[in-house]
Amino acid sequence: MADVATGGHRGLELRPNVIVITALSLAALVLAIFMLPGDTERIAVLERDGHYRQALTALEERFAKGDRRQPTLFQLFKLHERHGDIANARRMLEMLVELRPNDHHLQRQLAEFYKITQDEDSYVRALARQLDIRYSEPACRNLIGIWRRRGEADTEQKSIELCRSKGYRRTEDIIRLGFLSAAGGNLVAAADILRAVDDRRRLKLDEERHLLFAALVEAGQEKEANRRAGRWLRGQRNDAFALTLIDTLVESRKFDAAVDLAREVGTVGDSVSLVIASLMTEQGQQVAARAYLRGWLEKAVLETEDITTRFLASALDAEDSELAYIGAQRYGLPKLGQSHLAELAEALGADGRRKEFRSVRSHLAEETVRANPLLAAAIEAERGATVPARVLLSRVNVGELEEWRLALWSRLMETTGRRASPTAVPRPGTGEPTGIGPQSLGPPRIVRRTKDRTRTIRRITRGKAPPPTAPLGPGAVPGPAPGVAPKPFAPPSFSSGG
Amino acid sequence: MRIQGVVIKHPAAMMVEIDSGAFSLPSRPPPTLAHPESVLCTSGQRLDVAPVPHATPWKTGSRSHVMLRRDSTYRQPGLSAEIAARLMQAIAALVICALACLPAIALDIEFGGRRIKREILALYDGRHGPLNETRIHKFAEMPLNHLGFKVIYHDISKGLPPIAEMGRYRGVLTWFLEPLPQPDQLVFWLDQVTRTELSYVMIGEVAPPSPEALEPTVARILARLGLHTSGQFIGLTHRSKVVFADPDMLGFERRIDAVLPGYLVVTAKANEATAHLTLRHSSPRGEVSSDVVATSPRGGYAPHDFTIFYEPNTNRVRWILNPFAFFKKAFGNELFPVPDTTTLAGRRLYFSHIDGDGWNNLTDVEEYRVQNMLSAEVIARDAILPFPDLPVSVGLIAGEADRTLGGLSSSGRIARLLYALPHVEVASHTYSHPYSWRFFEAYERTKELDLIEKAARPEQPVRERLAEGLMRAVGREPPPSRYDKFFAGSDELPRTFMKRPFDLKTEVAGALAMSESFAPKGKKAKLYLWSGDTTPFEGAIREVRLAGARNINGGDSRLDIEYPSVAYVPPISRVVGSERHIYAVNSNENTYTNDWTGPYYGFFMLEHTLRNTDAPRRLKAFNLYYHMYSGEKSAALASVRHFLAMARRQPVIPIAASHYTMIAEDFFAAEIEQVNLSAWAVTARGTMQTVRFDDAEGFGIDWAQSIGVIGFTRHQKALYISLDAQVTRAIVALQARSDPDRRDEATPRLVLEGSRWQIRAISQTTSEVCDLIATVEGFGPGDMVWRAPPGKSITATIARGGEPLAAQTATVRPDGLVELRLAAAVIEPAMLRLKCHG
Repeated sequence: MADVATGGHRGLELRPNVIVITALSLAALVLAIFMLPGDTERIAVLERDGHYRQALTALEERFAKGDRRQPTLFQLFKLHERHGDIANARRMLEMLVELRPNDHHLQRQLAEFYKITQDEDSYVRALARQLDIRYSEPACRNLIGIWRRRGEADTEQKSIELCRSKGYRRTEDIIRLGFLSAAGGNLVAAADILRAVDDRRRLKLDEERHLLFAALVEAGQEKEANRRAGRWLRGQRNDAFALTLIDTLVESRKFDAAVDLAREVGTVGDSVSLVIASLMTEQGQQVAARAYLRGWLEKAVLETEDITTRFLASALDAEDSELAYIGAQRYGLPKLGQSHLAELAEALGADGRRKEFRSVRSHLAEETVRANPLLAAAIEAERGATVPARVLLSRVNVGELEEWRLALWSRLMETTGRRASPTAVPRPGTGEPTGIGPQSLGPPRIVRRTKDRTRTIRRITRGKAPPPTAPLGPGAVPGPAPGVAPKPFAPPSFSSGG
Repeated sequence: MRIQGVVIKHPAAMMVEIDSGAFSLPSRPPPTLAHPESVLCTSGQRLDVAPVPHATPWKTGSRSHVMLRRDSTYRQPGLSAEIAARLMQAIAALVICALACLPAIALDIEFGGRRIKREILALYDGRHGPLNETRIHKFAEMPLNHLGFKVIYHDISKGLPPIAEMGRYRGVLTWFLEPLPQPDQLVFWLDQVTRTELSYVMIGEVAPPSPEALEPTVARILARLGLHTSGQFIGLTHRSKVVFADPDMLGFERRIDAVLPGYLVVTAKANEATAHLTLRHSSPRGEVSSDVVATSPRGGYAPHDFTIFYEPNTNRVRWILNPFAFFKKAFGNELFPVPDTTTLAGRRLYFSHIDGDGWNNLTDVEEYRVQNMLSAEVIARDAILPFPDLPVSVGLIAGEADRTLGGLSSSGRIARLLYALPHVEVASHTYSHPYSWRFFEAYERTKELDLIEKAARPEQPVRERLAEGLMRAVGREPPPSRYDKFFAGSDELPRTFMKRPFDLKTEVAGALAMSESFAPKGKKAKLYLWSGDTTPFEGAIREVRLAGARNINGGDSRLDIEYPSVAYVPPISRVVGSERHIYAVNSNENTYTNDWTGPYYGFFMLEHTLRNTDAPRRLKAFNLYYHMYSGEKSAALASVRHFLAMARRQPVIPIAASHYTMIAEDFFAAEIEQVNLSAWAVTARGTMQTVRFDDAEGFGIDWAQSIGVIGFTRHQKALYISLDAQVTRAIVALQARSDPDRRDEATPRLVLEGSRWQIRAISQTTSEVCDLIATVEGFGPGDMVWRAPPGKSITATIARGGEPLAAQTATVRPDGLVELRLAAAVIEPAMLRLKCHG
């Protein structure tokens, strides 16, 4: 009993302590419960420790219970991505974007996801949405690139215009917009676009400058066109391009502007200024052309066959075979091609310049003479062999002769004692007479050389593809989209291994 | 009736001109046509022709002509055995019928008994880079391979080939843009070459920079192609319009650009060339028309910018021109059985190979990470062991197992486990893992040491150094140190394991021997997998051949949204001197995962390329090519398993990777000879046992003439014909199908449609045509489909050494097909017997 009593007493004595301890324990328990990591922390810990499956299961449970909060969706997206579950990763990312439609980071991430998973239609839509939210230079570049790759020119053009309105300034694409406008027939727009680029000195390639030039000329702004051309060509001498621009003016019958440009960018004696004589002849100013050519020849260095033959053509067009001969001699008759020599000989023959004719003849190959019965007849007539000359003349297909060759033919007919048929006689009043010299091969030529318009124009623009615009390897593609500067081309190298 | 014909270029070609009234069938020598013959159109229409009595042959150029008349008395085949036999010889399966309103166009038909020329001479300027960087290699060679042609390269910077040797070629192909060193020499050479019967196909320019003096000669060359040029170049094209674009030839992957590129004015001469793209340019000077793309019986012409479109923002190219149609037409449009490297026994080839990179990497895959498992072990567990029906070639990097270089002994343990498996082929992925093979062509150790010294490398943390020391102290092997200066983790240095000087013998033979040392006795290392830039030099390829192995890798084939052109599908191989480097058929996970920086699920996108290289034309086999480091990441591992499961589901024929390389090599060795108008002999085939006819819906097999043909199948309008490897000289003969839209008719004999196993050495056991025995070999269950007489039952038995392995009986369906699934292991060859009942 005493024990019981004592025990009871002790128990009573300890009661306050027990209460305190119990209270503290309870408090600690409550605190501990509150301090236990929540779901989010638990998932984070699982992820940290590499228990991705468990983390995924936990998140999926939350998702199934209706949790659509951003962290849940994002974690789910990352975990699905980690396990290669593309469909679910996509679903989560799309839900995230729906949740925050104006978050451009998310839009960009979604676009990137579509790109990686090769859903191009969705990718294009995502890029467009991305641009709706905020301007992005890479998004514009990719969007434009995709439409261009697909060959959807209208959509490409609209995309460039849209991006341009938002601040896109990538030169290659703006130039491309100019080309697209021109291809669509809107040269005014093309001129406006390219002019703006050129004002920033970003129009670099000849074909880009040529389009701007042509657009300005067609818009009747040849003065501005010439001003820009002058700047381009002063900065970098490029005779072929200068001639192309001059030809563009000629084509539009802006002869004065063409002469102005040739005078501005050329110097007497060079390739560009030579075109002035052609332009004068084109306008019927033979006398002025001859005078110009004589002055030109004084300053010229006839080093190449190309410039020499152009000079010959100009001189012959200006009906100055003597000057043509002087030029040919200065270059070196043996170096000239047979076709040019034959033409020169014919002209000299027609003008009755026997000495020069003989000089040129000595450089003509027998094959050339054989192939040209008119020339052969002139040679025979020159050495007094009228019968063989007559035989040769009978082989000439008169109907195919150009007007100025007809003069030679009719003269030879007279010389050999035959009369030219009425159809072959040169039309009166089509040219100015030249004097009959003592060494004349026959009657004076009364027909001036017909302006060989095709030839003149061809000589100015001579057809040739432009060379690649940048150093290119054999695998490189020199930017077939005009107006778009070429870039290093890198298709798969067929060469990545382990 | 007016007919448009297939033009086939060959000195001995004969030409048939057909119009409503008369036929002429010229040839050299003039044909001695004693009987009526039949010309068959793909539309199914048959035209019968007979000789005109006493008709005198005449010549036009190099061709002889003789008059034939339309034979109205010709009887339909099948009326008598004699006529049937005559018909089989006479059927010309080479004709395309045109609409009656079209003007009559020459129709060329092949002469019999001659070798089909498959070699195309490709000229390139080696000053700009090696041949594998040329446009012809990157863009043109794959389509040419697909058409059955072999491309022989010649570097013109080292001179031009002798004219006398040109007879072996079908044609010449050039694709020049950059200025040539001596354009005049090339032009004069072309002038001589184009005088012969050789085709000349020119993309780009003839001989840039095209000096004016050469213009007459160039004009003459073009004239032989039926083209005329004034030399005028339209640079500014906003006034040019497309007047005509042949939809079969242009707009292949991308339509013609709205901004037309500049072009040379070319005119296709009527009746001499066919214009495929015509532009008209209007200017104040008048209108100029130009046939920008054209083909003729003598070749073809296409400007570069109308051939390929380059998109700079995405840095991708696409074909504007249809390369398959263009090259086919420009190189003669000849019908012949094309050696095929994509299909075997009627099914698409499947093979897989693994480069050993990342073999010893610790895996991050959750299930295995705790056990510190290596990537190679993960691949073994998850991608190799569970798929015994799918062979795989595993290439160990010898350096990974060589402890003196910093390798681990565990590499050998895993290799031993893998190589013991019957479906695993022993391969090597080099010894020291070169990244840049060119560096080792003229190797200098001092240069390499210099690079090693200069290379930046991270400091090894103290903690890791301590851990290494402790591991050594307790006798455990530490993982290979990635901080060793002789170890390169990336291609900034020439190779991975650089402790010892490079030695080609060790690199090749030594590496193969190392792999072999882990394999069961007698199991040879058969394959060498190129590493790094995968552009080995000639000596290295030779070393592999001398070591008795085959080689593969590189190519990086892609045809998907990211690489949206067949321009990104490589040809079969790359020629280096006298050696041949075989390209892998598909790209690996490295290119899909941004050089293994992630996202690691990228390899799933291989599915697009697999689909796009199977349709609309089967360009490539199914190749699952990856690295051991795929065992490091869950997503990558999942993608590998995805394709393994796909291979199991799809009707493929699994083979070892080395087997594919043999087929690829044999594509070049095979010879084809035309034996008559509708039959060809295929010899020197080696392991290449499939030939193909494209657009062949109108044709079927002529069984009476064919020899060594096991069966056939149709895929994407093409006819794939399986040949018997046991028959040295197989004869493939075609006949017309009465209704191309209908299913192929059932045959009285057993004809293979498709099989998962290889089948060869077929022989009839009795006089019954529906009873045969054959040797079979392959991986996994014997899924096969045969054609047989409908309603009959087929019993199939498999035996080896008289020991039965499996048997099955099945009934032939009404459509004449019978499906079998034989559950037997035939990695070692076994005997198959098929017998009809009922």
